[in-house]
Amino acid sequence: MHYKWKTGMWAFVMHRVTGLALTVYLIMHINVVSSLHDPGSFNKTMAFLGQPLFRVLELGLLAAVIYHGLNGVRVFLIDFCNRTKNHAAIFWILAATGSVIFIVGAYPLLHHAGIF
Amino acid sequence: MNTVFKIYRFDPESGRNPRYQYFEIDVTKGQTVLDALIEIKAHKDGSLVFRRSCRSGICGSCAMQINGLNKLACETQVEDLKSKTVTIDPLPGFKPIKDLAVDMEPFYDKLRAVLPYLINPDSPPTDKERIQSPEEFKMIELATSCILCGGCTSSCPSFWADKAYLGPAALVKAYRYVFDTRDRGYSDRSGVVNNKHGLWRCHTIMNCNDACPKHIFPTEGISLLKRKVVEEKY
Amino acid sequence: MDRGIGSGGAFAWFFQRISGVFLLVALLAHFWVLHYVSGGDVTFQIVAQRLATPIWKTIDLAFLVLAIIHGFNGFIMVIHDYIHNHNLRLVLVSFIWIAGIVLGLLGTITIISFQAPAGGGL
Repeated sequence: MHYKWKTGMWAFVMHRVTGLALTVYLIMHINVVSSLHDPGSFNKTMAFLGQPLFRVLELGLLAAVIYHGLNGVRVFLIDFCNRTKNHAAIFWILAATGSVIFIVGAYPLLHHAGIF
Repeated sequence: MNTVFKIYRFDPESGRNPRYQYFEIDVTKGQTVLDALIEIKAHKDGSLVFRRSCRSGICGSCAMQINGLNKLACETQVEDLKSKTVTIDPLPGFKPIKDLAVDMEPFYDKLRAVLPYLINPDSPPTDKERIQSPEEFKMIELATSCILCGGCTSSCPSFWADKAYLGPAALVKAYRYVFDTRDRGYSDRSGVVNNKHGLWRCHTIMNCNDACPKHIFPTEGISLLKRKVVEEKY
Repeated sequence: MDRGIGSGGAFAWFFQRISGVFLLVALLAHFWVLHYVSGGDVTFQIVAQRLATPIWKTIDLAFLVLAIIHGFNGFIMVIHDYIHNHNLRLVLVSFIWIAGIVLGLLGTITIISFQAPAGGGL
């Protein structure tokens, strides 16, 4: 099987991959936040997660969330607004929008980590 | 212009694995991929197997994978492909029988499953046919032009992963009758389409829209059918 | 022809889209509140301040439950796409359900039982 990958295929596969990754993140996130009952341990965990390494990983999280959310908008438009014929154009418009949101969102993340 | 055709060859009786065979022919302006295959069969290798009938985009026999995308060989001009080597494979997702011919039987089974005929227990008016306005027909016009070539279903990653999935062609056929104002068979068809091997395996990957030689846009019909099922249920 | 491994799927499809819209809005608010309004480092004090109010508890609870169902529903969707062995599918889907419920309980307990410690420097 060597079918050519077009926009819709990339959009779908990335939606799946980011979706699964975000669910795995959600599991870890809920576990971390559950340490809230002990302020000391919560602050210790947060300080540990404040290291530059995790800040960079957070950029990946931000990108995944933006992609999954915006492509979700695209899926919604296809399913409920009959936008099948414009799906590729919508993909690229949202890709541009997503890039802007990423930069706006990444700046404070890196700034507080002392990278910028 | 000399063009190399890299063609999938498979003969189950030979006991050999599938392989690619290369043929070089001088392509003339306007020559289609099907013309090239006919020329190869006539002058280079008479054992090459492929399906064709009308040569003009009506019968749907010559759907195959050309340079990685499902197309009708008779509607694809070699010149438009703009490549020195044209790779030709049988439709993916179906069992190859010999060379470019695949077993389409599972495809037809799925069309039968959605009851592809008018269901209406009320007898038609005695003096005239069942009336439908042009606006009402517009809703299903594209879907009625399907030539059952199998290009869409064969291009669908959901179908590759789940061979029991109805696929775009059968779902478009279901759409064509469910959204036909003269039809009353929704309740007979809803169980077939509202199913784990039906509508909900479509993840709007869009390969079918590009593959369809009649530009039917199966995804749009499938989305309308999904909404119809949800509306009827809730 | 086999049409039968569990009928339906309409609800899962519809839910995924509706919850998706809610999650998109909620997530924007979540990021905004945590990384812009609070000004950077997430500390116990900042989170506690928010989580001590009933309104935020309600919002976070809805967010938690919908996010878990949306994510795990997605997992089940993938299983239905690629796993066709009935028994294996049953095992995997059951596992996802149990994991989802456990995670939901853990998160719910975290949110509901949270009380700002007396004199916690709020």
